[in-house]
Amino acid sequence: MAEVSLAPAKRVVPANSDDTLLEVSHLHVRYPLLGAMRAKLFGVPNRFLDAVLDISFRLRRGRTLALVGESGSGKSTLGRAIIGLVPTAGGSIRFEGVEPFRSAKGGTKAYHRDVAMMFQDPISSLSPRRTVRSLVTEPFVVHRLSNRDLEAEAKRLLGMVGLPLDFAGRYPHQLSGGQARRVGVARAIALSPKLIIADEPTAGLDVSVQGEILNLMNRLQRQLGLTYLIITHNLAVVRHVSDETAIMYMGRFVEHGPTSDIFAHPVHPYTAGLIAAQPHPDPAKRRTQVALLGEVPSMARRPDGCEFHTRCPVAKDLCRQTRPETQAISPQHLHRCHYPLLESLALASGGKC
Amino acid sequence: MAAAAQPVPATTANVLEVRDLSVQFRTPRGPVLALRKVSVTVPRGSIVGLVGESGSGKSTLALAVMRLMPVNATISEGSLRFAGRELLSLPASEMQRLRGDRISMVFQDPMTSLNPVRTIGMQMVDIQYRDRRMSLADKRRKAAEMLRRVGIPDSERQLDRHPHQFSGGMRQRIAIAMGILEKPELLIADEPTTALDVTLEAQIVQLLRDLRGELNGSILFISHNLGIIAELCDYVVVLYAGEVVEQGPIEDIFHRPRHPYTRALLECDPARIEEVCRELPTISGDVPNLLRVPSGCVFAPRCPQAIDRCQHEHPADHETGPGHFARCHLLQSVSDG
Repeated sequence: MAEVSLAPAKRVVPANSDDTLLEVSHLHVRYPLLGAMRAKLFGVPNRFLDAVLDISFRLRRGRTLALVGESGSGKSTLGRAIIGLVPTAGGSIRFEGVEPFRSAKGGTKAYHRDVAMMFQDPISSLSPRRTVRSLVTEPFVVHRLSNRDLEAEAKRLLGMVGLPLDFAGRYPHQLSGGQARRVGVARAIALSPKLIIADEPTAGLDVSVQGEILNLMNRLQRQLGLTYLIITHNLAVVRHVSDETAIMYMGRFVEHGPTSDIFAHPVHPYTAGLIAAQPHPDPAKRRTQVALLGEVPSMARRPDGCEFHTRCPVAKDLCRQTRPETQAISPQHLHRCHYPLLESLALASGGKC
Repeated sequence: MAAAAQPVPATTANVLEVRDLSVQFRTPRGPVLALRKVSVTVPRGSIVGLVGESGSGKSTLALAVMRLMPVNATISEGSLRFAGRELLSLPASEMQRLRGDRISMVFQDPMTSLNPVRTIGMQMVDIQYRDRRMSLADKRRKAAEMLRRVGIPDSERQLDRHPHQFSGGMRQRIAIAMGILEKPELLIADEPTTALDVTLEAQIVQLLRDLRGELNGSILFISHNLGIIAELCDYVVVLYAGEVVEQGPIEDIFHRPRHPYTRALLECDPARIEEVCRELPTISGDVPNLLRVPSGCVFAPRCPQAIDRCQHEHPADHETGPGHFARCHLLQSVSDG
């Protein structure tokens, strides 16, 4: 079990290296809504809810991919499926070329050292009865690396996330939101992972503290050569911190590409609507129209054709009947729309959030 | 000097006038001075935004106005005048008569503010208990009409559903419908969009704008989100660690902020940063512990421009424009000159 090297320097990989760390292809996650017997009894044709449908992407080492979407778009489920917290119904996940959940049991364990998760609500994801010292060293205990000097590890980790050493004896209720978030970061980096899946890393934080956490994550990414998958609904943050952005709607990627391209000229009407819905912190730029009306339909009653047609301002008959397939605007910029907003691309209008 | 400051040009018709309000919480470690001499005015028909970070006292102010404070809180000084009446000296029964009728409140989380075991219709009929002449059917009709106004389709049928059968956005619309059902003169909205997606947030903001036009009601809108404040409000009050550090017309606060804290807060908002940058600006340091309030300016320990005087002398409000006040020593020369 001593094969894990904690020397961070060895892991540093230039951000422009193009080797793939994580490859997800045609991933499918479904939850049963009813048992098979009941479904038959009540004559329900579809007893499953498809939370993640046909998702494929590659994440290169040292990069940051942001998953964006409204609540219920399946972005958290996708993150959880990648780390193995929810079972997949189809498709594959490859990490450094290996399928971690199909290999021998040791493979899964190694995978969980390489991939760490930062959970949504930092206070409730920390056990209230344990001290910060015990929380940040828990990963070593779980992975049976407790022969290490845990006191020294706790000091090292607290130092890395910028918490004073005397915080080691505190309990979660004695922490502010930002401090709890730092403890979450310390737990995530404890085993020197390669990939961190961060679910809403700044939700509920004040803007000043939000910047601190994002700057910390950015610094650690450079120091440790980390790769991030950030799940968020905050587009203003995404624009600054991610290299690539994927917009999810009802379990699918509707648009995926370099962050700068997506913000400069979104081609999917949903992306354009999300960007336009961001409030402008400037009273001179008040919006008079609501960009995107209505809410995400229930996944249990998935609309026919393009799932977005019920809210789409430019939907036509084709959209109501046929589901659009993934198309490419450029080799990196993909979308699923019959009528992409190409004029925005032509005009290259500055879409800002 | 602070007491003499008139935050908003004095008009006769102010729905709410909070003057020098101080609130303390008793805790085992001593009193926490959560609000100190806070003055806020809500003119009739306008939307006043109350902005501040967590722990700045935003919600405490809202609960003080509603007289819904926890038992360990006391109002140590100040006055709260609603439509010319002093709320602090009202007996509990009188206050009860105002709440939900002339002043109402929308809370942050609609799941916990709606009763899970009663249908929406029952709850909306319940809050019309004051009107005894109206029949049940009429009350239901009024409730359905209000649901329709906030954009809930098929509102007659929705009355028989329970809160859990609605999505988060729908629940918040219902909470707003309940808040304005009795056409209050003042609606206090405490972070009503924080739990919602941006798309829904934009819809709720539009809804509040429409309602304001229709009802001529006044809104005290509490948020930590500068974007939403900018979209909706006429005046802004900036709270920091229990004190109003700056207040004024919306354009002034966003385009000509005078207090270093307001400036820092605006600079931190990633939505205002046009150029993409990996390293985001922050406000260094922590919010002061309100068990031991600094004797000088509350923001001095974190202020990049702090001078010696800021450490031990509490600054006064300086008027830097019509109705625009900032509490900072650096503005001394401005208001003198």
